[in-house]
Amino acid sequence: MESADSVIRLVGQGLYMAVAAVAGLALARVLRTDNTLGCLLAGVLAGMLLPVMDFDTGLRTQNLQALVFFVILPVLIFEAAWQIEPAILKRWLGPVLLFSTIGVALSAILIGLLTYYGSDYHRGIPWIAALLTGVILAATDPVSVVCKLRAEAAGEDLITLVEGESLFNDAAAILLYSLTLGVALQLVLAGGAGSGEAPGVGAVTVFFLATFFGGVAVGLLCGLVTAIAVLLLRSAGAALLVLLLAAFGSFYLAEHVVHVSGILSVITCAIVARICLREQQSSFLVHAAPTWQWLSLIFSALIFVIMGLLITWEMFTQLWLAMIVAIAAAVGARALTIFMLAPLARFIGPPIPKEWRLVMGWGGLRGVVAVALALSLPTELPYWWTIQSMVFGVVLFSLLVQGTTCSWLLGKPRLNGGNLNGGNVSGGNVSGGNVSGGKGPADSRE
Amino acid sequence: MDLQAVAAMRSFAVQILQVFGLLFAFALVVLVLYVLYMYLADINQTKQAIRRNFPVLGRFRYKFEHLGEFFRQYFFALDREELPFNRAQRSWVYRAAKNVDSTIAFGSTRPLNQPGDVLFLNHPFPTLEKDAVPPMEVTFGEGYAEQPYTTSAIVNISAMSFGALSVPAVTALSHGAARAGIWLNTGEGGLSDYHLSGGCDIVFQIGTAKYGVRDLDGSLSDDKLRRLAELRQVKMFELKLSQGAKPGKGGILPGVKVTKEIARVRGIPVGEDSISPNGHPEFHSVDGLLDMIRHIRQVTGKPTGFKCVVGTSDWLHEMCERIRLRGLEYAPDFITIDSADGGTGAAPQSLMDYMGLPINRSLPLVVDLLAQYGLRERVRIIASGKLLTPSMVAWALAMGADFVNCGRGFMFALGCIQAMQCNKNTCPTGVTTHNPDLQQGLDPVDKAERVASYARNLAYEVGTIAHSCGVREPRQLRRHHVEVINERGLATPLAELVPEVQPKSVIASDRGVQ
Repeated sequence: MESADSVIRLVGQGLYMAVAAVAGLALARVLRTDNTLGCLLAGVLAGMLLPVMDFDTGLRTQNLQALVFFVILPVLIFEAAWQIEPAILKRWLGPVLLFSTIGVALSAILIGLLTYYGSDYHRGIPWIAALLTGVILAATDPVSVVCKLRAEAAGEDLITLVEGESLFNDAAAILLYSLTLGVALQLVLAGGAGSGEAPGVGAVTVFFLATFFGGVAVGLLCGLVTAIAVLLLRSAGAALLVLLLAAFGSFYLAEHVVHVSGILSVITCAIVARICLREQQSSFLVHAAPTWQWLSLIFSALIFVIMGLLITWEMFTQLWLAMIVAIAAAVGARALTIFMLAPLARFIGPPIPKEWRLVMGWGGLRGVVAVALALSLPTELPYWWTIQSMVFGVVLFSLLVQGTTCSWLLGKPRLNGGNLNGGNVSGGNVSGGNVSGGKGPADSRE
Repeated sequence: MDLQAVAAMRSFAVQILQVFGLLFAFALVVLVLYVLYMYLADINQTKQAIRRNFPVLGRFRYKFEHLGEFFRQYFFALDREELPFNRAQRSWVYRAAKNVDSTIAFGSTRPLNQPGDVLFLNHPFPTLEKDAVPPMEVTFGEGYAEQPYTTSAIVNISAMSFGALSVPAVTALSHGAARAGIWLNTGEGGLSDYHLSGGCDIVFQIGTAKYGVRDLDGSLSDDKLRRLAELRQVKMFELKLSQGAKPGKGGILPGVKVTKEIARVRGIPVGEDSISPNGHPEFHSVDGLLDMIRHIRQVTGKPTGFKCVVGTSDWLHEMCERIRLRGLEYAPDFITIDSADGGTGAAPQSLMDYMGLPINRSLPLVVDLLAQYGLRERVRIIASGKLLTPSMVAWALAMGADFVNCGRGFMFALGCIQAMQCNKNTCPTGVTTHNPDLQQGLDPVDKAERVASYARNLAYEVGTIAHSCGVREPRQLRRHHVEVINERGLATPLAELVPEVQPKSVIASDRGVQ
């Protein structure tokens, strides 16, 4: 009987979260804001309701990491990788890889340094915590920018560049996050044991390389198997099932069975499958795009509901200075990274026009992946709450300030790659933002 | 100690082997999966029947078809086999451009019995070196244009627009032309600083879209024309009616090649196909053409002519009659006759392959027509169309041309390998691409020297042919110096096939007065 109870309890908990997510979308519709903000509010409200209803969501800081990593991230990442046009990504692969490797590392280190020295007088964060913050905040998530770019009918190139950069940034940040978290946990444990010796650089490098290439290899195999399965089953419904299985399966296989990077596995799997199945776009995969749309909509809504549940007033009253430091660090590091690396892009790919750099810099919002990573911080770290607060602060700033002002930024420059005619085809209404409430960040990636 | 080292090395080697073994196994698995995927993808798709019926294997057909092009060119094509230019012709140009020995040995590889082939008649007492004279100077528009243009150059650079050609290519042509003392025709893409950079003589071509001299609504702007004519380097103006690649269609520059700079020079939007109208909207009759030419000459004060591919010839008769009637100041100072077998430009295959007359028909036709109406001295004739070897140039001169324009010969001098991708922006030699990575292969300094060498060696060897025929310089070649092989494989005098025509002013006045 106990197992039946647990199942029923699980269903109830799931339903509670789903209802909160839908309520969040409804809130967004009523308040005419981004879906993310609506879900955040819904999460806060749901959190207030919990004590009144005496309901247990089943969410624990201990199981959040597994939930985020094994359930939510695979879907979000697979969806993002699936949406990218391979041919255009190929053209911009050089700059994208530049930003997602050197760029992410640079931005993580910069944010780490800035928060470390910025918070030194205030709260004394250890350097590894600062670095962890930097890594979490290196993951950019320009959904609202991309959404507005699409509304503006900007060139497919800019959209692909922004989306591709974000996707690979996320992958690199998640990879670095796992690595840094491992080091941090080891430091904490070792500190507890009294012999504070950091793991050797060589060992870390080997581990990193094995994780990296192992993830890509598993993803490659999964992608091929996915394509083969879709072609064998020869039905649109079965294809969706296979793709969903591929998203979860490739992550699970890589992360849990082979112990390599699951995120790279998911990305590789999605891209390989998309390339292999390009001829089936209109036959077996007709329903793939809408399916991924609603899946990523529900999961990004969930992430923000959870964030709303966990966000507390104390975060702002106690850590407001750290938040401000983190916000300044995040925005500054992003700008610095873009303006340092963008001029180098022309050596390994097409040059990036000046207007695009502005969009990429200010449009480098922190969103769902940063929240997901912050949520999955283990409580063994004494400073987890500080990091989480700082990340939440930055994400809130992103949503409230950057997300709303970037439409103004997009209105000004010509974004169609210097096309003399196509500049302002879509007319003036850019400040309208999300007039139709359904036009949220998640459902607009097509 | 030693044993330890050996053991360490051994374990290291085993580790490496393991890694490679793992990699190999992985590659094998990927390969098997990939083949399986290809099989399923092929039987599931409906676009290509070959792939559907012969999965996986069918793919080789497409690969091989693509590769075959290269295999044929490098391994199987004979010296005299390829089109548009065979290897023998190209090699001659390359050697001339590199200024290396261009003699061959052990006999001609050219079959000397193909109908239409040209043979020059050597003289028993060839012109000695001390008797040879440089080519005669020829003047355009003497007495009719304010600033006539005199030159002795025989082979000049044909119209290839900036846009079709890349920046380094135009720069190299300009410097090379200046060094060899020949003119450079701008093509219809307007005049850029790169054309002027070398200091060569320039013939400015006015295309149907009037690029470079157009006003806001796309018609001819006299102001801009006048400003262009003020440049001392610009010697003549050429009104383009049609071009060899596509008679009946305007210039086509694919959008992928319309960069910012080209758009600025042409005055058009970036990245959009630049398509000229197929005719000049200003005139629709012979009189209109003559008016337009006279107008341009008056505005610019420089010799003005037109370029066309000859198709029907009624209008040429009419033109000559109208010139006779209205006065010689209405005559074009030159006519550029383009062969119809295609030039550098992007064109529909049907127009390139089938439309218009080739130069060996149109050149004698126009020459004889002008001679018949007594306009031979007034109107200069420039022939163009695959005339890139000395023999072809000498043939054109013997047939009656005053000058020869050559485009692709100079492209070969620039390093062109006849990859035939001029319209795709992917030219592997940087001649017709605006991709900076591909352009960097073309060094304008080095290639300018090649352009000049090619022009000089070509002129020199045309002279050699003339001297063998017993005349003192190339422009003295006449039709009786040439025989053409007929359909039975026997050489027939050219003068019998197309006899020289004497001026018949009587006929002209008879037909003119109605």
